[in-house]
Amino acid sequence: MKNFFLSDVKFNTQYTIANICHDIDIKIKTRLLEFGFFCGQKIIVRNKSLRNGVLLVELKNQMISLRKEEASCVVVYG
Amino acid sequence: MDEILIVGNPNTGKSTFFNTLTGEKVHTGNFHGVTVSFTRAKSKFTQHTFVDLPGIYSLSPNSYEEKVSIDYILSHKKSYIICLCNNQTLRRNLLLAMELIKLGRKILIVINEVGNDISLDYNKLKEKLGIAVVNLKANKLKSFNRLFDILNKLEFTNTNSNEIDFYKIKSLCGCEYYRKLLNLNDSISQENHKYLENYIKLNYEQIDNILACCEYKSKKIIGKSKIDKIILNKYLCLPIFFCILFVIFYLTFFSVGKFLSNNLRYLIQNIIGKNVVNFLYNQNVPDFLIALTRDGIFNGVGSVISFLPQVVMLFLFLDILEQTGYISRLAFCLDDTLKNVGLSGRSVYTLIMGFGCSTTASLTARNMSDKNAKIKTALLSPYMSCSAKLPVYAVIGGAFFGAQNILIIALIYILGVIIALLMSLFLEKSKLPSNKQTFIMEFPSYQKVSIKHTLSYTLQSALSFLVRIGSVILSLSIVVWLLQNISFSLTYVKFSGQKSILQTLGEILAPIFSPLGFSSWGAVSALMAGLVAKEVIVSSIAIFNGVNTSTIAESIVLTSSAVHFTPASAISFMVFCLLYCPCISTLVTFKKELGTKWAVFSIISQFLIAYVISMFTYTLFKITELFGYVTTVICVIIFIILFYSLIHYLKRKKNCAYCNKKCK
Repeated sequence: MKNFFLSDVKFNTQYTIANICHDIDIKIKTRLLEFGFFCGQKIIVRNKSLRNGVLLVELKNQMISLRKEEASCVVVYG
Repeated sequence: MDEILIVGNPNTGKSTFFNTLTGEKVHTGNFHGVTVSFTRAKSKFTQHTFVDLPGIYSLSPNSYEEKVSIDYILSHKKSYIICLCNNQTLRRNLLLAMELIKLGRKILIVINEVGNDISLDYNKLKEKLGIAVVNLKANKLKSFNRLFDILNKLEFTNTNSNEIDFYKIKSLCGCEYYRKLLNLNDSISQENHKYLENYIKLNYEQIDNILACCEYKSKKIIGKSKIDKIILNKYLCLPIFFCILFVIFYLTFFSVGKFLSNNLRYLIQNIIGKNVVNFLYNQNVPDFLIALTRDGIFNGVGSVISFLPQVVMLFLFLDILEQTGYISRLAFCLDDTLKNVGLSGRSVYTLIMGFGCSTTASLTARNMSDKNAKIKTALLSPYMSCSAKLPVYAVIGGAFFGAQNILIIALIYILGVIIALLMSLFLEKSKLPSNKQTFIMEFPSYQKVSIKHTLSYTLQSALSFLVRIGSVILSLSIVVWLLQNISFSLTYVKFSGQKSILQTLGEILAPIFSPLGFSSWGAVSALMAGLVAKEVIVSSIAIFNGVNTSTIAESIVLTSSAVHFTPASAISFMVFCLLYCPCISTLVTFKKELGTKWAVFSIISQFLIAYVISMFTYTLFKITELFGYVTTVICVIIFIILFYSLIHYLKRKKNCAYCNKKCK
């Protein structure tokens, strides 16, 4: 299966998180992990903001917003 | 002291739980980060003192308000901790509970039952975690009985935990906060990243196993709603927001708000005021005191108090917006736009609260993850036209523009927002460039507006407005009246014919304001009085013109009045009131939150901006009067081109905060 960055995936399609990049700020990584962004979790992008800079994702029964820069550090496959 | 700390993830209902336990009225809302500092209160039902702390996701702080919580938890070793969880987001909430257990603290898990469609075996959860678990509804005292039974049996003794081990684990996870505590200076390595991943993943696996044993099932997706297809639509989100604002302004300033305000004004002026003054006449009270009561108290304070219904309505609508969960949606829609000027979607909450009160709004900036963004957001809150400025627009705008005043008021509010964004851009490109900010935020579910909550909040706002009027505004109105009626030689000006203290000072400063169109000593003195509290501007105008609340609008049109305007100078004055120096209480908050430097910066920058924009507005109106609309339009186009060039220059690309390259 092909890997993508979360910032580049299609709407309303289910992907699985592969990993989070190691070159990201550790504070941001901590917050992502605390929200459940880790390997093996299913994720769906549901919406984008006015200028596509923020994504709204569905992860483990909750909707979470995150910036495109943050999403580009999350690698998914599917 | 037997203290119990209320700890939990943001938006789980901690402040609601605290209010029910203690009878306090701490502000609550359906947005992450409403509580930004701790509140301590004794419970009416147990012998303990409870502390409501700002929400945290884990024991790794990411913003100032999270640090407040963690500092408090770590420094109060003897205290018991109630870890408040929400049954809808239990999985994520338990992550914090696991960390508190690892820290070795005595904790009790309280589960706030928000969603009804969730199944969970509480006894098994208690068994698996090995600590007491209580389920209740945070806003219903009747459901607290089991909690009270447990609390009354608690023993407050020192824990024997070895916290250093926990600090070491968190340091290995790369948490700066604990690395500082342990004086570790080495840089974050790949090992730290891997350790962090394993640490959180392991915790979640443990939680998932526990929840599976407890037959935890949650079918609902938190924050997902069909309405969001419309509310979050790229092309509809802004029109919807503007429609909501228009409805709020229309109901507040016109229709309902105006009707209630007029009736209250009639009651104060024609029924209470007249009877009190007649009573004083009949009692042969000295003229000086009658004049002070009539002009200083009833005309001055009455002119502000009559706006009570409009102020209350504004707070009512802000509370409704906050309760429903709409502000989170707005933050999502506007984050990328605000990011361009160095703010974040989280700033939306502070800016919207600024329409109510700048002082409380500036405090909410604590929930920003970046220090520079926090300073910027707090500094921008006074540009949002607060409720105290509302009487100025209603009285002055109403006198000159009649029914069109709704458009003028809307433009003034929009001007405040535009200036705030430009100011933020200026700060971003000069003194306060943004560092890495996160916008990882859970979306709350839409909630029905609780009538009980809304009424309580509105009543609280009305009471605080009345208390403010009864204390600050009343005493200031008396001081203003005395300064307007006593000369420097301490004689009553009515008999001595000398100029009053205020008139003398006002006349000295008036030439400074002549380029803005209002150079009367009265207008300048009203602005000076407004430095303490903005409500005093209108009460001072009423005192200077010697009129009551019903005739204040008519008096400012007459050139014979101490405070008078033309349509151009009226607009210029309104713009100046919108933008000039914040009130004393906001400045005190700035000094405390941001430091003296930024409080002084706020005074100077806001005065200069107010001066320049008011002068520009006045000049534009004068050009229209003298040369017609065509010349004005040409002038505006030239100005926009020059302005756009300046913005373009300021927005020239810098290296990205994430990759340190000039990326897209």
